[in-house]
Amino acid sequence: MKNFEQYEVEDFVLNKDFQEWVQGNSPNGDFWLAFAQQHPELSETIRLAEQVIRAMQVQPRAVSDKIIREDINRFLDRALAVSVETDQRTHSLKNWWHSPAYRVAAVISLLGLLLTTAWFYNSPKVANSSSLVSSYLLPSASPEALAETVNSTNRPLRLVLSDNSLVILSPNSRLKYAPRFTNTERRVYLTGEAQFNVIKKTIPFKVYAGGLVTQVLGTSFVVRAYDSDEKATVHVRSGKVSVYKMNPTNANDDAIPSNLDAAAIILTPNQMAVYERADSRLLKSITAEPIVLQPEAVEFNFTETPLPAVLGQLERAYGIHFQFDEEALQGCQITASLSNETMYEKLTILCKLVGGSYEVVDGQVIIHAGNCR
Amino acid sequence: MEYFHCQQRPLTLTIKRMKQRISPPQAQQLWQDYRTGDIYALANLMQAYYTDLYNWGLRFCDESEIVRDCLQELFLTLWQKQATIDEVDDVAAYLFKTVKNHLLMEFRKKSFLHVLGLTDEHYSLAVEFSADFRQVDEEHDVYRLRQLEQLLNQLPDRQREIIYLRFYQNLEFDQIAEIMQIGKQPVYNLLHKAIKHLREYALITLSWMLLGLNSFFAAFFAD
Repeated sequence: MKNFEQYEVEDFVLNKDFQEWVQGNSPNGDFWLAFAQQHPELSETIRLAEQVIRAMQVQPRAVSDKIIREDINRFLDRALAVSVETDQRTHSLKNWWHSPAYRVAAVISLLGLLLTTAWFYNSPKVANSSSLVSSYLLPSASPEALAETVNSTNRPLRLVLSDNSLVILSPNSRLKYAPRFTNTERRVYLTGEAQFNVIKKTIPFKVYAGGLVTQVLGTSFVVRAYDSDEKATVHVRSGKVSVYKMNPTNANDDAIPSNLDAAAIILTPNQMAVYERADSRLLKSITAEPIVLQPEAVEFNFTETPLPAVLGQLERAYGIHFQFDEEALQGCQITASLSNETMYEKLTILCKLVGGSYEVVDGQVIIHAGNCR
Repeated sequence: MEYFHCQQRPLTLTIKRMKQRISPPQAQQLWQDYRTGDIYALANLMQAYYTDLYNWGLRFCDESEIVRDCLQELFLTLWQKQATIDEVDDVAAYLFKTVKNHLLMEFRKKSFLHVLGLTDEHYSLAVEFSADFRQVDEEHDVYRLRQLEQLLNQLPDRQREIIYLRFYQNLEFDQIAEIMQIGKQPVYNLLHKAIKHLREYALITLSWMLLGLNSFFAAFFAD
């Protein structure tokens, strides 16, 4: 412990923890209260330090959540519109030199093209690598003249499709797609990993990868299906997607197969699908780092809050269903600040507090805990 | 010092703010994701820091629309630079610094500053401190806080900027150093000096308030 007995007004004011205590945000506020009571000789020093901090406040100008949302959507619209524009300009190479930003984009895509060509000539084996999936990765009834983009750089590659959906193609990944989608389907074939931000339309968007079909209307998700991996995964960031296995014998699977083995699973944000290639099992789980879906609506500071209410907050924050015995846990009171921890860390702490445990089953969290009476 | 085209209106009311901020590692992770081309990571950063950056922007120009447009431009520029942008040590400090530079640059373009040959050193900062009077009902305390408030508002601009960043935006010394583009030690020294100045003035007035000292202590332990 630092030598607080020797502290002057300045030292207290400059102590972050003391500052947070005065501002009412300190997790260990009791410490300073006790310290002040144990050291009456310092009371004037502490008092003055406290007043200095109180005087240093500035009135915040509120900006409503609505405005923030509007501004962020405006940013996203403009940013995505710029990428489409960039894309088109680089294709037509018309007037592109007017803007330095486009010049950079043009150079990058040209470079990408050269690398792609080189990669194709140099490593034909990789392109036809023998794997369980590649045989049915591209259905024989594949649509005519697909464009293919290969990212052989070591940085992710941004790609805007004809419907303005954004694809971020990871290194060593390939995407085949129609240069212009038809009115009946939006279908792409992926080897490797990519994140998709799909523009909402009534026509379904389908990603064929690693023996899985991921189907969405409009959402953001990540598909990972490298030929070398034993698993193929689909992570959902927003919206809802359905995932089902490709039919190896008939890859032209416009209808979802009716047999049980190929049943589709529905994923919501923070959930993922894992496809074990060895035994072709398709399972639902939770992503490794669930994100808070509505940060502005969530407070993770609890004071003598019953555990079921705490869990309810977490459920809403992460959009994941928790199973627990509400009656048994009603007596557990939680006082904690859990803003900085990941979801799993939060759960571990909560379970430790009440002497319980949790497990992830089928995209849900199941909490096993005794009761607190 | 009034070079800007928009008014810098000081603020008077005090409302305590309790806001969730994202942790530096979380921000760093989002920055990494943004660099790999994830526009939603950048949008998440924008959301997480929007209120802080907006309030910061208003220190240079008290016009909501201009600050909001500035934030739009800033994040669009970041997205355009996505493929080439470097890692940053501290995302919050980088964003604060960029907002400040962006606004100052905008105003410099429109003003005669470049004609006068004035540089970055010459900008004014609209921060008016207004003490938090909640839980304060003793007359002496109110008096003392008013006095501290007044002293604070008379401090030089650079000292008020540090105090604002430290006590309102809750930033660390190295973050403040980066935003103000001076060393960490000068930041600390300036702040130390400012507080010492406040203390000395506050104690002088205390000596002729000795009569009220008893009730002063009583009030403290009654808290």
